[in-house]
Amino acid sequence: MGKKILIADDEEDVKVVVQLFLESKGYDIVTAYDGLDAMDRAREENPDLIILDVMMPIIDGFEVCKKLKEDPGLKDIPVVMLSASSHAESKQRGIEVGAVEYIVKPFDPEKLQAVIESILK
Amino acid sequence: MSESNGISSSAEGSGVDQERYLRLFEALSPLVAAQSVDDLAKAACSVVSELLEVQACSMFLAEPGGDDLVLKAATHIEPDSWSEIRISRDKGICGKAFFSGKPVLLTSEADFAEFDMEPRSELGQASCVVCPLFVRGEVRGIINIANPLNGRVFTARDVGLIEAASRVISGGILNAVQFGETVQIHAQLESLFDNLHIGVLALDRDLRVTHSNWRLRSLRGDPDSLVKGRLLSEVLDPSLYCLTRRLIRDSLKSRTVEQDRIDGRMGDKSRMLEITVSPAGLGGDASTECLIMFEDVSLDEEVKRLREADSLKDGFLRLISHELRTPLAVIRGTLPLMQTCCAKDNEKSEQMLNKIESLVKNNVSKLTGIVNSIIDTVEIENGSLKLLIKDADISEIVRSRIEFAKLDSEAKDLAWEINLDDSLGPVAGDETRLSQIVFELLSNAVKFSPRGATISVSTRRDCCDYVLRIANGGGGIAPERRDTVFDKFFQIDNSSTRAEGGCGLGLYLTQNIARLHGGSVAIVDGNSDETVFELRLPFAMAEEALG
Repeated sequence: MGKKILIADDEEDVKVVVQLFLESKGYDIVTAYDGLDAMDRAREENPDLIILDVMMPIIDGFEVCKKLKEDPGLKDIPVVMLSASSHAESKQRGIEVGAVEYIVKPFDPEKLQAVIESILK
Repeated sequence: MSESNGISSSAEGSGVDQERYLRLFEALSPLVAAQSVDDLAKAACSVVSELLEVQACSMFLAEPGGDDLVLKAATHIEPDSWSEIRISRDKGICGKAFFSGKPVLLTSEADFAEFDMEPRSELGQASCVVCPLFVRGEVRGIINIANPLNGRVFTARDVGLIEAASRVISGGILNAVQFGETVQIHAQLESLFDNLHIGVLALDRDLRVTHSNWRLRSLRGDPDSLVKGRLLSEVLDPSLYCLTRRLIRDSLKSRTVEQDRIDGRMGDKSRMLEITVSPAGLGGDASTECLIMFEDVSLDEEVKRLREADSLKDGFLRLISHELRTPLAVIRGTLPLMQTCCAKDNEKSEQMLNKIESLVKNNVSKLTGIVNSIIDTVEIENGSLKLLIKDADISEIVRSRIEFAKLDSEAKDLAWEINLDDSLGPVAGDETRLSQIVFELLSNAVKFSPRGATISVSTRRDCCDYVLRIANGGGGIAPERRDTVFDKFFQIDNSSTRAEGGCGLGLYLTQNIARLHGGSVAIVDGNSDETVFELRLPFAMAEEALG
């Protein structure tokens, strides 16, 4: 059984392509379609790693990450942020709310895989 | 020697004296209106010497800021040398009159001797009266009459007359000084008026120019041209006249300041002018009915235009740097998947390849859509977007676009409530553009509906308009914010309500394209939890005639 990764992205296509890629690399994938759903799924599935899109409806990725880090049961799950914003402040904010890595779209899936592997090692 | 305190009342009484007083006043009164002190002095000396029958009369005035008294006029000295003759204000007979503020009468050798003076026979001076001239309560000069040795010796009556004359002359001096000051103030005001960066015209009730300033004349292209007395219609280009006339009418009617901007011609140059009309309540200038101010704001407008262009550029940059990333990320993400599929050759890879193909297609079409939106926006901005107008089957267009939109809505489990009147149409329009805007409104509804919501679509006739109504369950939009959703690059920036990205051009283009068709798009009232867009398009002529 591979490690379990939660992907939260409101962009259906981005979610699908990351899911297909990571599944092909042997990971077990669960998905969420917005920030609130991501919180629920994280509690239900207790994943080994969470990939969070920044721009999501209801609550954005930064907020989700902050809430995860405040939750004693979830705070140890490493978070990788995906964002269409390459602004330095945005990256800074991602690190501040507790993300391990901040990746800008469009990204090289193999690099994402390398990041995930190094975190889960 | 006698002083004025001893002689002041001695001129009263006799009828002869009274007549001389009257003649003196009569002759001096017009001088009060003199506009220069020099003219006044010259005329006064000649009047006094004639009416008092004296040999010589002279007038000295204090030099402003100096110690001397300067000769302003003398009946016995050539005018050319007047200004060169100066006497000290604190010496001699004149100095005594100047400082005491009282007339001095000299009638004997002894009197002259008191001032260390011989009676000067060469000037014929054997008797003289010096009288101070007061202006604004201060001694400003003296007037002097003198008779030769063999002439009449002055008496207290002469002193009385010259005192009376000096009061009239003092009034004249004050008037001339004030006139000079007024001229100076007038020149200063005129210069201020001319130096205003705003062109000003003052008009009388017949709309004839009563005043104009340098700036106005230079805006017209010729600062030296004569504008005064001309009709407004002759002074302004017709492009400006109509608006100005309307502003004047409104301003005079309501007694308010009226203002507007117009792109008009002035001085053979097209300018953006801000015209302000103010009803005149100018004190004392009853001839002026109103003031019109012209300000060249072409530069302001240019700055505004450049700012808009700059914000457009910023918008495009944001668009390119942000909105293009997501579809690119998907396409980029499919590359390693393809390699995996190519490496294996089984049923699962086949399915995967189909999936990849649809992802790539979908996202290439998103990218194409963004690029097309940018091109359409540029064409709308510069007015080059062309429509291919014909009778367009709008009912068919709407039906087919709904089918496409339904495909997009599957992932969100949206329900559709469709109520179309298929008998409607056609409308006059460009089918491709109509498809584009109908689809934009439908996909907008899909985008902003929460999962599981219902989208209602209906069509109807309203007078000469075809009306498409699309309601989504994405929550209402406050009336005051409804227009802003059609702004260029508008995005709901609050990430909590941002269901999906988009380039922020869709609704802007939709509204502009609808307008190019003579129609409109607006957000109208609906239930509190829904946003309702209404697209209106005029029916084609044939249909209109049937209807």
